[in-house]
Amino acid sequence: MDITENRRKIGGAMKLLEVKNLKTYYYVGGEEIPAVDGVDLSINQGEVFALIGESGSGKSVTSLSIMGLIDPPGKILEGQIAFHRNGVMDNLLAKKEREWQAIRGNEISMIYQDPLTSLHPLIKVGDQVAEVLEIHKKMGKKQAKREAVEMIRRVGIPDAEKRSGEFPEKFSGGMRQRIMIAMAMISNPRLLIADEPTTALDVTIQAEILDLIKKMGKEKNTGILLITHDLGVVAEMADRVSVMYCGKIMEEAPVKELFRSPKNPYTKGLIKCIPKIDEKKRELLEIIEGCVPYPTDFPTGCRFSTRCPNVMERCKTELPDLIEAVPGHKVRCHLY
Amino acid sequence: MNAELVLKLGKKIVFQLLVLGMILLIVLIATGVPTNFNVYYEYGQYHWSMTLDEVKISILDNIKGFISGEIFSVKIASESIGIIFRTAFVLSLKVLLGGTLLALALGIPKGVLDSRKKGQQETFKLLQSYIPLSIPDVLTVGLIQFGAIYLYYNDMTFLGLGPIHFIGDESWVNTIYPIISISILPAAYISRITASTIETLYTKQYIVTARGKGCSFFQVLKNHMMKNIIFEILSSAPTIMAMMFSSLLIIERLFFYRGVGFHLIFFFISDHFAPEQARASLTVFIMGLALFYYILFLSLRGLNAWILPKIEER
Repeated sequence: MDITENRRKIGGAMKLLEVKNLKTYYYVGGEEIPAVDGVDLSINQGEVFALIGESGSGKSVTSLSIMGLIDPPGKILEGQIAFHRNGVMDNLLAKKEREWQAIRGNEISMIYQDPLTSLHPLIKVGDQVAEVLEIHKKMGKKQAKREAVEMIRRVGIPDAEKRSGEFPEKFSGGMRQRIMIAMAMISNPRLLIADEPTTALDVTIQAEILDLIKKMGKEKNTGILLITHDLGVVAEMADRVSVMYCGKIMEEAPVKELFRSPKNPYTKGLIKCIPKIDEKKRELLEIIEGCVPYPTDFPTGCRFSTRCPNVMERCKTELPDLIEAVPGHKVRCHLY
Repeated sequence: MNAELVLKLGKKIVFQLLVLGMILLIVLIATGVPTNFNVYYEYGQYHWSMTLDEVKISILDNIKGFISGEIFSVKIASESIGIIFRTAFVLSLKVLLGGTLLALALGIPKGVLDSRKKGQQETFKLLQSYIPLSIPDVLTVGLIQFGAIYLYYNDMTFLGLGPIHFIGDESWVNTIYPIISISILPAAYISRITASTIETLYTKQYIVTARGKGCSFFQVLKNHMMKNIIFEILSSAPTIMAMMFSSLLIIERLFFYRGVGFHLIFFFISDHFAPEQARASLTVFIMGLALFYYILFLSLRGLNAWILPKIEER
């Protein structure tokens, strides 16, 4: 389903989240680390928006910033995170902690990368899922527990009643991620952030988890921000995609457009790195030369200039802007 | 329970009973030595105030008296030692129990506050708890007693209970100062444990998940951290208990609070009692205190050795 289809389905695009010029920096040992440096993105209701990039590119920090979960030594320096609430775009960065708490887990939920460490080891899984309803829907323990069991059943855990009374140690990685999905979806959030939800899982169950997220999102018309470094997952799941590198968005396009006609040399490099099993000729896997620069040592010009095969003198000194090269397709590169 | 576990458990129990038996025997030998026994140096030679046989008989009498229970019927100031011990034990238990509850009630919130003061210097935060930990017990108790004397002589009320006499044990209000005194050190210790546990837990992914669910700090604390905090406090319980027992003797003595710790010293050093009475009372109070301490210590160690690792595994 492309973005136009999506907009038609929901009766015109309703912007759910709009992040503008988000800057989240970390201060470690007297050094400034621009983990997220002027990120812009927007997600529509019911849309799956993917954020891809290498490890350390700032994807997870972006998601934590949207959740308001940045702790010292991290700090959101500037920007705007506008979320559609009560008919208006409400700037979340102006919210007090108490207001954030009413939004987190209720209107915006998150699924984390590692299901093995994301569940409290000393609390029964049913209670962990039910807690969301106790906090946000002010339900009594018994009713919340009943709803939690039902949700656990819906995410595909057999014998949900019995299993909801067990501790996380009794669950496999895939099962724990299903519990995390149940926990995230039980309050019917309008935005779901899935931060590399399949990275820590066995390949055999990755597809099941992605299907479940997609199915649950579709049922409730939930906007999904999918954070991943797996282009295969992006191709399968997303409507639109942004490519992130060293804290900056390098390219943004509808998913088909991005795979058909990547513009930024970094995106091109990433796509080339995908192994192709249908190729008859045996070839070495492509790689992007060089390493991601250390966060305190980002180049003054284009962040990718130290590794770019098309680098020009201008790239080393001047940071390109994110421009709309063709309608709906934005790119940050001096070639355009 | 499988046979291997029963065997392992049995071995441990037998070993612990042997250790206990050895300790009790050493205590009985030490307290069996007559209180008027003395070694002195005169004209270039050491002299003993009684023969070794007399000392040996006294020790054997002490052991026999304890095993047969006769020692408990020895009368001191018209009361048998058994009854005095029972009354004193209840008084000491009140202080220990009250002190434990107060230490938890003060230590956990202080630890929570310490962990939340993000802007504050780490060293200052540490000092707040390390100062009470580094001051000698006797000074802490002395300061509290000084405060108690000041309040009493200035006819000032404390906790709305009116002026409380700074010594004695006639009324339940006399328990207040000993309870406060005994709780200071463990409270500082508990506050450090709580603060460091919270700081460690705050970086754990499951706490981030809880915050992501919309839990407030106090919901995170109550639902997601308290089990871990209690777990850590229970792990340190044998150390905390040792602190409280060592303070008990000083506190009861200074506040003239006639618990086990008070009598342990009082009968022994007082000139009003015969050596046999002093010896019998010393034996009963030391043995009683040692047994109580050992049983409590063993229970907490058992908790640490068998139950807590199972929770930790999870």
